[in-house]
Amino acid sequence: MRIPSSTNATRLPWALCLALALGACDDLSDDQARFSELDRLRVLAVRSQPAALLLGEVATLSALSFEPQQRELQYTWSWCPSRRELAEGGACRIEEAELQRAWAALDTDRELPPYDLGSNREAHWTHVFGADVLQPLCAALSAGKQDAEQALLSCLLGLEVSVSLTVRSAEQEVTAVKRLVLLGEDRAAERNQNPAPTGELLVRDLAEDRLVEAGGALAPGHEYALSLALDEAVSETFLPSAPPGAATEASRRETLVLSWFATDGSFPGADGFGDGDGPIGGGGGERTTFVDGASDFGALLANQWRLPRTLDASESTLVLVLRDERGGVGWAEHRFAVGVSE
Amino acid sequence: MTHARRSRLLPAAAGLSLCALARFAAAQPFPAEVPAEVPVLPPATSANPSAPDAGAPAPSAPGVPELTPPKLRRDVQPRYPEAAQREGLAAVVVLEIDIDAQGRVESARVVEPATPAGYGFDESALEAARLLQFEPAREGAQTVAVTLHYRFRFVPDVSPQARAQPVPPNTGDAEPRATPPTGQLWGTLRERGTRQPLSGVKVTVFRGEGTSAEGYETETDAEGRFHLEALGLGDWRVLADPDGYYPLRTTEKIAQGSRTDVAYSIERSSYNPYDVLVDAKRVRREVSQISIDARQAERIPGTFGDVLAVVQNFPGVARTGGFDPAGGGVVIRGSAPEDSRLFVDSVDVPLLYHFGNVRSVLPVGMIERVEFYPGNFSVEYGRATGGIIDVELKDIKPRKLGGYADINLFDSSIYLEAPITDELAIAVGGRRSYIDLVLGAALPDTGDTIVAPRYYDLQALASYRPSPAHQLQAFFFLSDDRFEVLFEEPIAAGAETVISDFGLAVNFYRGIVEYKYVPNDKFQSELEVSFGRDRQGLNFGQQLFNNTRLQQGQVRETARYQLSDAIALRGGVDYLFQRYRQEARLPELSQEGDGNDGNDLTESQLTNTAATYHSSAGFAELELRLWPDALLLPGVRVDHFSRTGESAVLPRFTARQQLDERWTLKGGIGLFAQEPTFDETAARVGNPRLGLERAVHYSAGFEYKPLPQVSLDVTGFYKTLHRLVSRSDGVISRAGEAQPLNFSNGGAGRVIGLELSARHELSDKFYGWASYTLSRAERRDARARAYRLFDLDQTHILTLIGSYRLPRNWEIGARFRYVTGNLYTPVTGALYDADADQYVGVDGPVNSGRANAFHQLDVRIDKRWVFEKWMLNAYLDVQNVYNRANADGVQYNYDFSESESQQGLPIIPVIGLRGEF
Repeated sequence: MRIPSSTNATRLPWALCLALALGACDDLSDDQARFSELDRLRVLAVRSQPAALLLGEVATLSALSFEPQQRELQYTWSWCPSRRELAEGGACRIEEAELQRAWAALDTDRELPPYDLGSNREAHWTHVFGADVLQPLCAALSAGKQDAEQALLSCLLGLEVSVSLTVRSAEQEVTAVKRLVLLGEDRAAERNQNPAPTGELLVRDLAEDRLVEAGGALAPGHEYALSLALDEAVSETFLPSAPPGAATEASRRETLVLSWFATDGSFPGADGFGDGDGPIGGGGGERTTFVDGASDFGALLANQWRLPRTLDASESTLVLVLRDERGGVGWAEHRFAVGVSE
Repeated sequence: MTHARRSRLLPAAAGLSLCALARFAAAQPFPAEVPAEVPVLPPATSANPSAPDAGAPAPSAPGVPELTPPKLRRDVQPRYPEAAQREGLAAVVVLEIDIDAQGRVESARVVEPATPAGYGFDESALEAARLLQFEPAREGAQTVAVTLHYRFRFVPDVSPQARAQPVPPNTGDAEPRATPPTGQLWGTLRERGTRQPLSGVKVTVFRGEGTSAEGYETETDAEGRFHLEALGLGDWRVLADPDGYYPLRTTEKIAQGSRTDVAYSIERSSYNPYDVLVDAKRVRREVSQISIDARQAERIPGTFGDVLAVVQNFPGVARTGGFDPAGGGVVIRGSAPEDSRLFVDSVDVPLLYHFGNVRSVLPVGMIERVEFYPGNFSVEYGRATGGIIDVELKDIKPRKLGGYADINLFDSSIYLEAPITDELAIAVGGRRSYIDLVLGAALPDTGDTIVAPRYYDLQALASYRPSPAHQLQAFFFLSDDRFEVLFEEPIAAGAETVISDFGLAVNFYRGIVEYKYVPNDKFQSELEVSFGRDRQGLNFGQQLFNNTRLQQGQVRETARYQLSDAIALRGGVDYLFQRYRQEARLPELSQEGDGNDGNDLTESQLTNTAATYHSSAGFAELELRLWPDALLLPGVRVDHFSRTGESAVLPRFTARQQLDERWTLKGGIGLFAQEPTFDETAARVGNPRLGLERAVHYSAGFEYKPLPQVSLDVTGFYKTLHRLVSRSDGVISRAGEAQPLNFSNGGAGRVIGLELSARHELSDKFYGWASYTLSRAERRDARARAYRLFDLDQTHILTLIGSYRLPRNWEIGARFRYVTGNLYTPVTGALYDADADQYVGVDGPVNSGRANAFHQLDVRIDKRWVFEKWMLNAYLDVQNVYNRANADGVQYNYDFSESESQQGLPIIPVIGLRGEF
């Protein structure tokens, strides 16, 4: 995540300190839009299946998008082989023609995917960047350039392939960017799987202290305890790769983050810092987490949902997006009937 | 020769107030004793915020030479006017006397004529004053010209013959008249509240009226003691009326053959230290220099009594505001905070404020004054391209155990000083915040464990003067800041970064040993040895952390030699040794000019650095007075830095020309250089091959003093910055491996501005200063072609400060500030980072937006109660009186579709109490 800083003259990431400590990094006053509130066109997740690609594999790219009026959406997919600077607009720093020229000069029969991946709900991208082409490709991209930093940089740190999805409705447009995880053959064994929060969601009315039955209606103004049934095995055990110079860590379970979204209401979370009104939360709220050795798995699966006293709609939607720390993502959607406002 | 600015010594402090006495024939009045040694006065002070007038102290060398007032060598009694004697009139005449460097009276004039006028008192006093002779005043070892107030008190002669009744005709039965019985009066006179003995004060005893009046007078000694013998029995009225104090009027009864002991305490009519302003002639050296006494600085509204906070009011200092634990980042004339250096007695310190902007690390008790050089500073300062703040420690010379305890909203502090022997004195101090305790009680129980920000600092100072030529001073101080939060539930800063706790610790200590040797008025030397350690610890859970440790030692020698009347040579060497360690895993940190490009937690790198560095410098400067009222200072500094492997030869030149009593012209030019910061040269995340950053300063201006208490300073400045460290997209090959360059010396900058300051020095009741800075600061990044505004560019900075002394020890002050709004980089759109699950704002042109202007009024009210042996001062300091919602920036919602101003601090009232004894 990136935390905007309000002053740039410091050496310590002070805005980061303060933002984390006070849970107020992007927060505004209560009447401002909430991260968890589904009230506008949103892209909530972009998934690659498989989550990590081996050479030659084809990734199926899909996205979870939301449009409040469920109007028709247009999709535009593309990819880029270099690091994107999102704050500068996220443009790809390598021209497609340039990449094609460099690719053509390589001794390979693999076909380079075009930047344009189409305008369907799903797209496909083939991993063609084996070790045999990487070095000569980088060299070719940088040849003759006075400032070949962009291309070389992406090659220096491993190839960073990202996909971009622009979703448009009649009135709004959102662009999302996701990095694709490319594995070498030597790391096939620790391949990541996309987690999926597809277990049963239990809803308990806190005021009436009763479980809401499947298909039952929710009451405006009520607060509900949510509990997701999920096997702990969804947090895979893996061996983290150590940064250069660092000691190798021991195997551990993946960190998981579950983001909660709703068309109505909010997720108050625990009292104190991070009451759920910003992108950072703790103890319930907009995100719940599991950190191996630091928190219980159960804390990931529990939350509270407070419905407003007045609701225009007869139905509320709850969306859960589960991410792991290795780029994997999955989601689930729950719809609830809503009773008459009190 | 530069025209000598006279000093002004008030007689109460100087102890030189003498009276012209008529003869008392009946009893034996004790002659007015001139103390063999007059008390040492407080060092010269200057309240000019921008450029002290010619007489204000400008210590270019570390430390302030001690000022010794003149001593009366030959007294002359004035003639008592005959016309006044016939009518039995008493009068007081106050003269202003100019004494040259040889102790001769050059001129005298009446400043407070006698009442009633027309009897010749003034003329008689002037006549006597011109014949007085003194041991000249000294500043250190050098004699100096001074001006002082001299009071003549005329008391009518009352002879026993005049009192005696005619003897009746001898009837043959008359008996011889017996010697009348007498007694003694012994006493001490001290200042109420501080218990300081008052020396050189006239104590008068008298009784009766008209032709039966009789009176005697004596003077207190250095310990405030006095005595009168052979006083007639019965009631005597006692009067002591020293300048600056409420008069003592009382009655004592003298009994036969006995000694009456009394102890008097008299209250000052004002406890503002500027009643004893000593404004001796000092060499004004710099083009731009501000010197402010600690006792004045602590009373400036809006600073909550924090002396070092006064720096924020100096012209050329940008308002940074906010909570910045990077350490009191002071932005001086458009330079980044890391480009300016902070010193305590010329020893480098990492920060001035706890948590960057809360409270200073040194309490007022330890500070004598703050010296501020916004640019074109002397060759004795280096390793900086911005400005210099040098905090001068107090030169402790306590005559008794004293100190204070202060309690306010933020913290409590205590200070004690005491003489151990005649040569040795010590002082200790400390402060501890308690806002953590307050917050702990006030915040609801969240389950999270919070250690709210807390800070403390400790100081110890010892001064040993075995002889006037030698002084040894040792000082140790430490500062510690800490802030921790342990979250009951981890916080997800993205899926890849989850944080279970947060901690911040910043602490440092310094030990300084100074030896000053001033054997004569031609030579002085100062040797300083210091050692210290700086530590910074920051962690976000286990994944992100930054631990740095810097140990350093410094040896510095500065010497001055007066070659002739027109030429003096100053020079020295300075060696700094540093051992640096850092272990960190942090995202790429924001740099100046990054716009909104904040810290991306998903991209962190591990760094591990351990290295030893040293830098050495030699400097030399000539002080040339080749023609009247001129001062030329050509100098050169040579620095070598091991971290960059570079040396720099840095010539500088400053010139001052006093045109007359009122006008002075000044100008300067110089080269400056500094190393990059440690993280800029760190392996992997920085560029170890970076070179020095450099700057050229140009400044010129004038000083104008239309009235004795009013001064005006106008300085224009321009500086160019070269080889600034700037982000780079370049790649370099190291050990056959291609690596990102991260930074290069390809940046540049330029700053132009005008500073105006006007100052009204303390008159009877009022003190005020106004400063205005107009400036523009720009930078050009390495990967850009055009200049842009510097992040902290503030076009207009206006500060108005005033303080007014009311009766009965009330004082009220106010500060108004107007500052151009802060720059920000507007966000023109947003992209969703699907991995980090957050939106990233797309920046418009860097620093193309500017918030609304900042303005704020702060008010301070002081009330002092003076008790017999101690004083209590209560103060109310209200910051932002009209609760202006100043915009400190812009904040956005999660997808940057909505924004609102980030508000600064609201109204903050702080109540404090200080007890002094």
